[in-house]
Amino acid sequence: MQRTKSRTYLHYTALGVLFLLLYLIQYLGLFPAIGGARPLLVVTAVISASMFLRQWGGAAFGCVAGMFLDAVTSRANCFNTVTLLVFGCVVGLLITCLFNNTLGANFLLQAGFLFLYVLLRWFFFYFTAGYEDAGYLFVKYGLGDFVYTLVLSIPLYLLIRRLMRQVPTVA
Amino acid sequence: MRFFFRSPRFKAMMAAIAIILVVTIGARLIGGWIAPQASIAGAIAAPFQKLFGAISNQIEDITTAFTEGQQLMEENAALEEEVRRLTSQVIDYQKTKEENAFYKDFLELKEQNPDFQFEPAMLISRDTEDPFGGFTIDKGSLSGVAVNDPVITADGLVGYVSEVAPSYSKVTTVLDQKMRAGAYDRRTRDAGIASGTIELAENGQCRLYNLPRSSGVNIGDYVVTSGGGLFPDGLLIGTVADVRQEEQDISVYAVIDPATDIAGLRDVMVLTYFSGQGDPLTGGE
Repeated sequence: MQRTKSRTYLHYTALGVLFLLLYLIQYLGLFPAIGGARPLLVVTAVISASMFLRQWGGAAFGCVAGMFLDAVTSRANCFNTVTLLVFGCVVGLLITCLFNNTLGANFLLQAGFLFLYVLLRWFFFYFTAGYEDAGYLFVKYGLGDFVYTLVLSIPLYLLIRRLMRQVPTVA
Repeated sequence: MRFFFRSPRFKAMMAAIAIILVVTIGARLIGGWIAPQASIAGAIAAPFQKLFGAISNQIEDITTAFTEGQQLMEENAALEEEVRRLTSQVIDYQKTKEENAFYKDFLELKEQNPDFQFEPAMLISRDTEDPFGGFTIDKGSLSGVAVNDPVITADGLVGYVSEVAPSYSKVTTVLDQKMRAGAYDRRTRDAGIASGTIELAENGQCRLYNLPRSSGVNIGDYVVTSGGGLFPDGLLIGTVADVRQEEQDISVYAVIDPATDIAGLRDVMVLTYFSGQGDPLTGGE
């Protein structure tokens, strides 16, 4: 029991380190931009991790990740904190009640929640803020970020699954 | 599923969301303050961002020196200094061509520069999701930085502080559409508003709009701030790269190449005080 507990803490620590690395990679711009689009590494990590952490762990992880994103995002206020908290909780619930934790389910959830995220971000940051050419912003930066991130979500999920493989299922 | 929505944990989560929203709205109503939870997270993340930013800059310097040679870097730095010196001389030359009274007033304003109070700051992270190049610096309210403080470099205006936390701040650049500064062409004295658009921001440019159709603005003219509110008079914004007709009306606008390289910024200065600093008339949110 003691050995399982310490292994659990070790995997959660690894998840935290992975999150910190992804956060720094994303916001130092170390990942190349493709046509102006950049991957939303932290958002996809929250969705993937919530599939293992389930609703409460996912909500907590999303809340903390969102707080770090809000710290560097202009005009964000609490957008990322609340959004990723809800995403983490809902993804965890869907895995508990509806889906199996598989690569296919991950791809489906990533597609749905990433699109919702870029849509909400565009709506609150640009459309309601009265930016000109809001439609152009959505197509080039919103959809571009969505596609780029969706492609990267697959290896990221596999990496997180490897890290969490031996963690007991959280109810 | 039914029990989930009735569970104490769910109610606790909803209460946490409500508290976060109330606290954040309260922080915004105070005026430009970053929400406490984001402020705490930023304070934790800032040292790591600085460390990784410094490592990233160091690696970039080493690679550049390896590929292009230390000699080329020194020559480039010397040439940039020469360009800055010559640009300053050209601006002074334009000033000497106008009436004596205007130049005396201008020189008097220049002589008032000793009252400027600067706070040096380092760029610690970029908002990579912001197409207008917004970024975060490592100084906040504890260092005397306040919302709407101008941000500059030795080359010219960069933008203004849009949000502030105790130990860091967020900067909105001159490329942003929300940035609106009163400005004028230094040669023709034609006044307009300096701001950004998404199309120009992708090319690292901004514009001076609301110019009259009869404006004599030409390519190569210098555009400076007109003062009277958010920015002091005479801050160089950039040079005119093109003059175009507006689509909706008969006025024209000038495309500006900013004096500073927004994408390559590392160190900036925050103008925490200058004579005449007042409420934002044109710039800021």
